[in-house]
Amino acid sequence: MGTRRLDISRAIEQLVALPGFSSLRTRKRPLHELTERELIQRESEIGRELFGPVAKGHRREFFNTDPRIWIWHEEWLDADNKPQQLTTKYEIRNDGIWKVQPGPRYIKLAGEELRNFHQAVTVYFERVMREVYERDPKNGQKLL
Amino acid sequence: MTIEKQSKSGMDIAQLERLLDEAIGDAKQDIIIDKGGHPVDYTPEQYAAMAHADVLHRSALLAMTRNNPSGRNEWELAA
Repeated sequence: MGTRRLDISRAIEQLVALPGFSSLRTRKRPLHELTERELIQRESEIGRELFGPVAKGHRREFFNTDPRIWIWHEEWLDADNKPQQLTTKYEIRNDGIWKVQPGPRYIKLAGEELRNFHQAVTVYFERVMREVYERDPKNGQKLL
Repeated sequence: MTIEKQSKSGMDIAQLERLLDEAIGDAKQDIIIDKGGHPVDYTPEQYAAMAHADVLHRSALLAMTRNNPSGRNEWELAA
């Protein structure tokens, strides 16, 4: 039996071609009392837990800002008690997922790193949908 | 813009989501067909394509939910 052509690339191209896709905005949102920034902060409270305990003196954030950007941010005090920080941006581009770090250094995710990132996004999505937005992550229905 | 608006190609986001779901389904089916009907692990290339599409899809759904107008559930449109 033959192999059918994969249309994932075409689907992605069409999805990201939406005008303003990376900044979808509407006037109203669930949890009306919260701004988008506050909602992202609530998401990040879950995101920061996905990678295990945060070491003492460390602060970690992991969150999604729009359909094409994920942020990992970590702050800590070094041996001299000076504050340090590292922000890693994950960009969802048409040709794959890229990690951007200061420098700037661009690395296309592959192998184990891609698997870990995909797993983190999957768990983030499942938990945020249930715990922040009270929706079933499988179909978006409001949870009773 | 709002998520109800049509894309330049004339497709709304629900249609695009459906297309993406079908593409992911096709990819899974292809793997089964290629391996004689038995579910197997993805090749690195197949997994990378799947993960890329899946992350993009979930990111889009998160953005839509975060900015959901009047509690209306766009996901129902894609069902």
